[in-house]
Amino acid sequence: MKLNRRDFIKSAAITAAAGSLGLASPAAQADDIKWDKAVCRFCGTGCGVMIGTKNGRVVANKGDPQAPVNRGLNCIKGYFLAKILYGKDRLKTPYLRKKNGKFDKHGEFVPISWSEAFDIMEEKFKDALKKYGPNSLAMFGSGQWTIWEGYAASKLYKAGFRTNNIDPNARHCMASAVAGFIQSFGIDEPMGCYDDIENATVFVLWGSNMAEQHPILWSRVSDRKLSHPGVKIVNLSTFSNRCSDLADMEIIFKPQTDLAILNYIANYIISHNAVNWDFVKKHVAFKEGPTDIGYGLRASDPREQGQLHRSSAKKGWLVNFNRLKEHVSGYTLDYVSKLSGVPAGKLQRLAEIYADPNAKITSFWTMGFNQHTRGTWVNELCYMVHLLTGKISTPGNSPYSLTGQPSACGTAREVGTFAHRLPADLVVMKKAHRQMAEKIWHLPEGTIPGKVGTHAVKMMRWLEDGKIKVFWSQVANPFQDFANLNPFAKAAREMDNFIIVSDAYPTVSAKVADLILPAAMIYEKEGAYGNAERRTQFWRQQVKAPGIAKSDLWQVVEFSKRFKLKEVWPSSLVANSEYTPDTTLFEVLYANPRAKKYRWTDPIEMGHDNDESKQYGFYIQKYLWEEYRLFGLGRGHDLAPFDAYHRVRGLRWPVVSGKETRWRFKEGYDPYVETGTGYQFYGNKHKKGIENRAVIWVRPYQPPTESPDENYDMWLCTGRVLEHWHSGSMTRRVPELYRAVPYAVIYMNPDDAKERGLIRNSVAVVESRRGKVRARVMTNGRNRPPRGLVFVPWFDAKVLINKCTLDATCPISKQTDYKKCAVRVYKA
Amino acid sequence: MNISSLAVLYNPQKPGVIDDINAIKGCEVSLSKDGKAVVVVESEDNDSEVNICKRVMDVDGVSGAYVAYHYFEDETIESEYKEVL
Amino acid sequence: MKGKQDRRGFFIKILRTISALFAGGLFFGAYAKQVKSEPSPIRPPGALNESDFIKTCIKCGQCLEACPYSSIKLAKPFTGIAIGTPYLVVREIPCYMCEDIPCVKPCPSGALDKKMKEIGKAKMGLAVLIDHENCIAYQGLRCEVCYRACPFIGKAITIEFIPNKRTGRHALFIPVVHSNSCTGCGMCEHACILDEAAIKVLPIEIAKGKLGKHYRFGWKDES
Repeated sequence: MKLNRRDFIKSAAITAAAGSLGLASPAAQADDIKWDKAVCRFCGTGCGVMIGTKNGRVVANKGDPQAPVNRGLNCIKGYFLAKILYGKDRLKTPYLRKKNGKFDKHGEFVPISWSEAFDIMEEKFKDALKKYGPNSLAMFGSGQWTIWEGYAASKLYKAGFRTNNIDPNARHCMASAVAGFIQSFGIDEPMGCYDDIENATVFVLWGSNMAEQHPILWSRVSDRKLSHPGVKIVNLSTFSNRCSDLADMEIIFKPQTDLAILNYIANYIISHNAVNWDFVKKHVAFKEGPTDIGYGLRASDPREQGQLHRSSAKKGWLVNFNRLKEHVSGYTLDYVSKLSGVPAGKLQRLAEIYADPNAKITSFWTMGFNQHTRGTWVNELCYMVHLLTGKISTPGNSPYSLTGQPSACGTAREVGTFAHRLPADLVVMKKAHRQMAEKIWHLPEGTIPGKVGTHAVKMMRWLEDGKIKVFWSQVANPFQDFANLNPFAKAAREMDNFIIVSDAYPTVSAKVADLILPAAMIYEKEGAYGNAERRTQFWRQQVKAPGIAKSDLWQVVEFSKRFKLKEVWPSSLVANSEYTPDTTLFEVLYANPRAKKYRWTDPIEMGHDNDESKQYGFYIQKYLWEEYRLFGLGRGHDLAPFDAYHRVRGLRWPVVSGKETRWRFKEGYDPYVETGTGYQFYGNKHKKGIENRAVIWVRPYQPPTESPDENYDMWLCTGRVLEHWHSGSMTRRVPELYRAVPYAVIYMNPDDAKERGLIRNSVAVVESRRGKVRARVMTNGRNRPPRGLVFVPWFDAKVLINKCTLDATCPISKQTDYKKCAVRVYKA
Repeated sequence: MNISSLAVLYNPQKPGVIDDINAIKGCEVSLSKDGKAVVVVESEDNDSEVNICKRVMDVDGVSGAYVAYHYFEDETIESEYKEVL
Repeated sequence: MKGKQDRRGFFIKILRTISALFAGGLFFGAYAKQVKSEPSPIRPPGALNESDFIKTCIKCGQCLEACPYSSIKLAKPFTGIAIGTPYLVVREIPCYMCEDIPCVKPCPSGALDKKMKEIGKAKMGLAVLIDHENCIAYQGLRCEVCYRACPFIGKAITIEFIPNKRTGRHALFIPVVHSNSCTGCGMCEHACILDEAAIKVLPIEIAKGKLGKHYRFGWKDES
């Protein structure tokens, strides 16, 4: 950061002096720029971009006018895509902590070669495998991995090392959405697509600050409203945000009461005869589950005592409509209005909107729902409202979970880089699913362990407990991202373990690591991302990575050369396989005869570089894609052949007979739905009692894990700002974005500030039971919290707000609630 | 960390002025044209920065120099954040 | 902190010396007259109107010393600004709008008016979105950095939403400055992400048009 800031200041200094002398700064010379299509690096919107290169450097970028998502537009982050690659402190070589020429956990970072990096990794991996077994290894990946990077890493851990201890940062982002989809529909990802925006008459935002976090999609929503009189927007949030600029109704509710509001809406729909009986009778089933499911804290936590279904939270049993009716009848307007702090009139109007048979409603949600100790429930409750009224799977009628990351869908969810998943919605717990994966991967039966691995939060707790010995993170910044990070960072620095961080920049996590691996960035490798409307988009390698930085794919594949089967598999397993004990994981998982059929070079590359394929002599990305594709064919997850994606601006899966699918589960749109059925929720096709039906879950309101009290009297909510992406490791290195929003502030109600002797710009401390940070107060900025709540963004490495947050999770999805914990705020 | 920039007026007919400025430790001429130059001054502390500025003004052929921009490490909020870990 | 004081002391001392040299009689007055015809610079909050300000300001530099953000500079020779007077270059360091207005408090001359108790009432200048052609918001990109940087977001700068005819499915988010709430603090110009800011703070007399005295807008209330 230092270096970068210095340059920033210097350029400001030069501009100032040059300006005062009337000298022009040296102008960039345009022309003979080579353009190629690609995808934006940032959010889940998935804007198409064009990347301009010249002399081996990305020198320009523009929105892709042919991209259907954005039609040439970008947000401010996309505007600076060309600059994110060229921060002055790009990591160009591996670094290892050393003292006296040897690895030492308390040593200083020293640049080393790749072979030395792999040497020490090999030593640490083999040592851990030998002493503690495969479950002492863990990998933390990302919804920003390219599809084949996630796929290759998953293979290495699940098949190579035989542990399911691999989980992506999408656990913090989309896990509740996934659990909601699986529980309600038996298949992951939204049924609708962005075309819903041009068809809806009402947009309801549930904890989704789209105006800042999905800027281009919000621009589409805005246009829909402007161009079609009568189109309404309702913004539900726990604080006032910029979506309210366009909203017809803003509803600020008390944290966690979204559960009650949704139950009230269902109550209204039922009691006002607004149920779409035709739809419900044919296509809906009802289920109920246990409610004493805990808060995803450690078992020893007092709040977990007596919570009997902590580990079986997703269990459920069939009930009937009357049970739902009886359940929601308790959520009266009066009760919910008091509980949520929302005026009764507003709640009633919201319920009327959902109950209106003529309204085409798209409900958008993001982290407000997903980062929630009842995240799965609240997702399910939103489906309940849409299912009761039949407002689903048709243009404009869409309960729509938006993703935050560019490939949370494409990589984390579709490839299944979670501790319990395999590609295309297969899970490790089911033998038949493992067998299918083993068959596709040419592995002997029993290679993939059936035990669910450690999910992300557990990974950190196990690090703290000394159970994880080697932790490898790629395209993520765990030691800035995880809630309650003080003990985890301490464990990583002080305990007997080995932390590897692959990144392009020296992030907080890189500084915590023992070994830093320099990563190639997005346009320095061939890649594919999948956005929030099931659209898969490819790009080619545009430039070379700096120094000896390498793609995450290369890092995983190259490291696999260090392991022979006899070192990672029991001899009985090797004996059942088509390999010898001396076959390397590289030869089994990546450079096998199937892979070598994909020759390099290939005309689809149009003369572009591909550093990995050039080195290996076969088209590794194409091989991995074509193999991965086998998992979904004929199973509702059909993807097109590799070459197709290089020719088009993305395709929305399932892609059957060369055609993409816009609305799933609806006859006429989805090729998987049989003629004459109207709708088929075929994710539940083979599930007894709910065949081809969607499930409405009976779920109550329950209070949050930690609420404000006398000592910690305010809510803390965290999130993002438009100008910065996630932990800021890229956007904070763009001088213009740095200047636009240089640091994180505490958004606070002016009355709360006044009561604490704070004014705008005062430095204040935000302190929870777990940690504290200092930052400046903002009382009249873009976010306007109600009394009793502060909002602090988490992009700023100098305001590590996750020292304060609580690592409570949804017990079903294991996703952390970053939106609710108790803090106090006082003058520094 | 101190960074400042000087707007310098010099006699372009006189050779070596830019080189002389560049030769001063901590100075870097980043732009120069028609007798006008932009000099970036980097230094550890305020005293040495002030000295450097004086030396630039003393270079033969320099007719004027003034500080167009100065930056010093903000000692209020930044330094209160301890290195994280 | 100490270094900072020393450092500022150095520059202030130099400027005071220069001022003293010029101030020996008529010379400075002539200079002041000369700059009068130039557009006035952005002055600290509470500054009197430009001609009164130049007459009143004693160039002591105390406002500069009180500013916690080093926003205020003292004018150097040949900049077209009365030498030694305080001014801001908001593209570099804007006014951060301290609610307690520390720069006005120490002003001994009254050039910065102590009657100004509320920073929101300051009128240092007026932000104007000058370059519509290069402002990326006008092209449909989602930027509006100036809007979100504005300390009076929603009042001094609002967003006007206009359908994007080119794409047919997006909206333009156009920042619009309102002169009754804009203080000229320059947060918007400072934050603008273009190489040259498309939004700039101008002296009010340059930024503002003036309606003919005889005319009233018929649809607006007259009180």
